[in-house]
Amino acid sequence: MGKYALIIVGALIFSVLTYSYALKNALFHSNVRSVQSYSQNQAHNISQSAAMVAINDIRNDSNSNFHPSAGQTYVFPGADQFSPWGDMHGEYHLEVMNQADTLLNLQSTGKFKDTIYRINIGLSKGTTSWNPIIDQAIHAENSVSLGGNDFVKGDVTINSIQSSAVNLGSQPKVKIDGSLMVGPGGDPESVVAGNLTNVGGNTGAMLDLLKYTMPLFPDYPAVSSTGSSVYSSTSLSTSDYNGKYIPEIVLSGNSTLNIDTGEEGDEVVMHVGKFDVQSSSVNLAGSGKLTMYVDTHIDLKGKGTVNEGGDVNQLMVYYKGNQEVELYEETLDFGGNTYFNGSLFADKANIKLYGTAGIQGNVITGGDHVDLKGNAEAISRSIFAPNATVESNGTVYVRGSIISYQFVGSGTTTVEYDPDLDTEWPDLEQIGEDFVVLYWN
Amino acid sequence: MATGQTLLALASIVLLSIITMSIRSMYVQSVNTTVESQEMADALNYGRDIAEELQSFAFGFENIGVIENQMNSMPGQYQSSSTVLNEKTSSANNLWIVERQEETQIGRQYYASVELPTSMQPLTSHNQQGVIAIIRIFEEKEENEFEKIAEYSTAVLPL
Repeated sequence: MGKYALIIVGALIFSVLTYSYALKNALFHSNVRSVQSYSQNQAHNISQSAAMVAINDIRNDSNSNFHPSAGQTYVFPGADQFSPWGDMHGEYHLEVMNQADTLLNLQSTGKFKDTIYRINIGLSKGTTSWNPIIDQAIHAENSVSLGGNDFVKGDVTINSIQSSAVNLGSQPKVKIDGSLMVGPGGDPESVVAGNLTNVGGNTGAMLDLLKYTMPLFPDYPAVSSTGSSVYSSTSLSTSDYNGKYIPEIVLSGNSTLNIDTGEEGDEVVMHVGKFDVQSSSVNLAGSGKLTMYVDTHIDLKGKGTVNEGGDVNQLMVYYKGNQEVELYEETLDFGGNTYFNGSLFADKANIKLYGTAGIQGNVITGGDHVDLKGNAEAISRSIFAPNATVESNGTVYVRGSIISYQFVGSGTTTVEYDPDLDTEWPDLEQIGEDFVVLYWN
Repeated sequence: MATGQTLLALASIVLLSIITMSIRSMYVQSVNTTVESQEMADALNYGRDIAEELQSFAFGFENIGVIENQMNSMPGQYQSSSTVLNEKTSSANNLWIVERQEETQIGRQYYASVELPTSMQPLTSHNQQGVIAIIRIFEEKEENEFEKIAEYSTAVLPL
């Protein structure tokens, strides 16, 4: 009897121990699942956040690494590597593949502890012609400040609706003879610091934000051969330079360079490493259009002139900038008594126009500063610098429009909108507005 | 019945009692674990819901004021606050209490807060402007006594 009782109790103890073990196991797995669930949620947050960073980088930076060439893949920070993100308490990894230049496939991976969460996003990729509509004298994204003797002949627009984003000073006189329009939903009385009587025309809020997008900086065309550098007065026929790489054009001491651009309808191309004109003249002979691609150096000083007296639409200069000085700002100086008659597109360099320098033609820059000083004069359909602070100080005269992130005027600046300027926009493209999310999963 | 057998029978009864108590204890523990596990899952899902809602603010997001306007335009959803329940945090930041308390199937109440910076900041080495939102999930253990269960962070950038 006792023996049976012991066997039964022993069996019960065994059962209870088994049950207890199973229960503890279940408890452990339950806790593990909670931790996994938390980790997965945070990894999900990191992957979503990193994807938003990459999309913004693609949209905001025309040279974004997340926008590789067709058929190429960009991986950040490297294959099978993760970049730490302290604020998110985790790490992230991004891969973007450009499929046939029509689709960007973005894969964003978030990592929290040992848990990984991956999402895939498709972005339609397309380009459209760059043809900004500009019908105001000044546009700023963020702020406009006009000093005591500044005068704007034309309209002013600003996307900001922040209080005091427009500063017109305290002088009781008209400084903007056209209208002043602030961002949608903004109240001009709040946005303008000072007196609205400084505005001769209407004040109000726009129905939509004005978007001014930087055009894509063009890829330089391949060169067929290397031509001779130019260091003194000479003439170049189209066969001397068209499609060739000219290492240097460096002129000084009243030298003259005549460049034959061919007949009307011809479009010739010159690829130059360094373009330096000091107290010398570069003239365009012929009726064709010259497109000049400059690599790492443009300098125009003394009494240097380029295409003086010629047709502004005959010359287009692209300046890539020195890729080795990525970490600090590069500025193109046009000083002294110089004159540049043509359009200029600087990929990322700042631009400084001072002394009695004059420029006629479009000025387009992705840099963050444009300085107009002294007695500088710009007759330009547009100084197009939507990422830049455009600062004007002195007896500066601008005929055309200024597109800026912020505009700061002081001294005696006059900006006069002229709808009749016949300067043509260069034939450029921009990332299309249809750069939208096709899928997100 | 011999004394030995009596003692064995008594020992069996004692053991049986202990086993019965253990089984009961384990059962209670099992139920408790299941409930706690469900609570934790509910709290984590609640946090994820709020994180996804904040991520949806990325569309049309231009500055921190736009997110605040979206929060204000959802009556009964968010309320600006100077304290995050009883959790101490940076006073420089922009604090919101999520007014939608999550009530679980077992009647527990969860509360959440969202902490935002006062302005957009450059995020990651790519320097894209956005905000990092910190989401905290609390359970009210006693009246006005909150216990933090989980904390998430998510970035929101303009899309």
